Amino acid sequence: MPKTEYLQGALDLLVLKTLALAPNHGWGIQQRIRQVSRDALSVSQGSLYPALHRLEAAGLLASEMAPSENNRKARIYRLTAAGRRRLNTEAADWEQFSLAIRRLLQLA
Amino acid sequence: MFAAMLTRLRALLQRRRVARELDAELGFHLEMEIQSNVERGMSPAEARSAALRDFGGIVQTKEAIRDVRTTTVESIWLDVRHAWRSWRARPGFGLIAAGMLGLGIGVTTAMFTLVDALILRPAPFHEPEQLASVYMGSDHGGRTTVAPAVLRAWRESPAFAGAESAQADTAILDVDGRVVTRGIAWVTPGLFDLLGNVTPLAGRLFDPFDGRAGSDDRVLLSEDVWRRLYNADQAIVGRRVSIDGERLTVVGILPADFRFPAWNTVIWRPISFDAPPPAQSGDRPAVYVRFSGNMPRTDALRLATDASRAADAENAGLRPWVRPVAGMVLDAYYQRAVPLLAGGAVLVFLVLCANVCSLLLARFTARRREFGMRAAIGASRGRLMRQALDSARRRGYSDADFPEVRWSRVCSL
Repeated sequence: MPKTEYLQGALDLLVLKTLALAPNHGWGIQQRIRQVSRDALSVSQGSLYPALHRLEAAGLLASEMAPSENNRKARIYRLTAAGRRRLNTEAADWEQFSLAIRRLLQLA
Repeated sequence: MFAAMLTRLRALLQRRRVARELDAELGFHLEMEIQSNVERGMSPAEARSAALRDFGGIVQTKEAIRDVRTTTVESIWLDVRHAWRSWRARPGFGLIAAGMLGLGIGVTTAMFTLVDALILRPAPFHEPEQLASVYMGSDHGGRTTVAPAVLRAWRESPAFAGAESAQADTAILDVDGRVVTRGIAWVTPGLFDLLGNVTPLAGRLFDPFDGRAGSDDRVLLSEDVWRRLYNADQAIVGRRVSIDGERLTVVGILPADFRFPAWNTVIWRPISFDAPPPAQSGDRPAVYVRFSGNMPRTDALRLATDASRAADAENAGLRPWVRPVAGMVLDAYYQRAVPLLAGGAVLVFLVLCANVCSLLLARFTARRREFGMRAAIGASRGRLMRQALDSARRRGYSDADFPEVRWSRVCSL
């Protein structure tokens, strides 16, 4: 499993981006991150769920208990307007950061 | 921001429901994980244990989520509940400690009130040390009043900066059919000027002519009487009230903290000793004087004695008696007694604090075994310390299990 330690700071960004596509529950978010990154990124439950609750407490996410695909009740998270704004700034920050790292690597 | 507050509020109000939903949420995750493992070809039992292994500590995850959600209000609530439980477990302890502290605080507060009134707060008058009550008597004392002629002579004399009269008495008031008694004083109109620093809350003080025949039906009321008996009637000035069966016109209201000459004087009526013969022929003035700062007291009293003898032959062979106004409340005995009493009260308070401290220490000692046991099964010193501090921090000062916290509070009072 490569380079998961870079993940920590970007977890919020990953969650926000994933939810920007469609509302989802915790398991779905985890699977989606794994699929989209082709198994390069994996988020453990131990950090995903606290992050979800933290983002919700900060008003960036909203959630409700709703029946899921297998008809069990699951907590479905969706992005709020504030969450969408945060996603934009975080994404821009990340672009800048990765651009800076890339330049540095090419230089050396 | 608003949404965040709502979320927290909900978490606070529906703690049980939030906990249930959290269980459901994590349970759902686990189930989905098992299902997907089965789809990848694992046996159900295998799928279940793999999912659990993958999930890591469920309890830790819940703990982390709770940390994210816990609010200050909630942790205060936890403190309160913990304090209540530890009190319920041993009510005697809490009651005794609270009783002792209550007693100590009560005694100290009562003592401070006394010291404040008698020592810290000076007499409310202008240069109170120059004010005194003066009368003529033999070596064994005498009547505290003098003949009206003597008062007039003392007013003329350079011995005093001023001389007025005030006599305490009791009056019967009739307030709309309700009859009560209150302290009253007959005062010469110039008394308030003599004392100084007396300002009416409403209306005016007495005129120089008040008290003479034809203008003696005036009265001043204390704020206290005005509020309690006359319901703080805004139109009281100019109204007539019934005192001792007479209808008197209220000319002004004096502040509640002005009480003179007696501690219970709340009504003042004017009296004049100016014009001979006075209307109330039996009345004799009780004289209050203000010494002038630039004449020695002995000289002033010698002049006053001469003047009194010239005005009234009765005073031959008598000498002046002087009682300072400031000392009317606080004579030499009380001046020593009050600080001693105050010191005693503080000592009592300290002793009570020490008692509470040792109670708490005794309680802590009872837990020594528990700490010893933990140390024996491998808890490091630092770990024990952290636990104590963590607990003290989380549970706050209410935690009776950690006496050092309360102790420091008690001792810093």
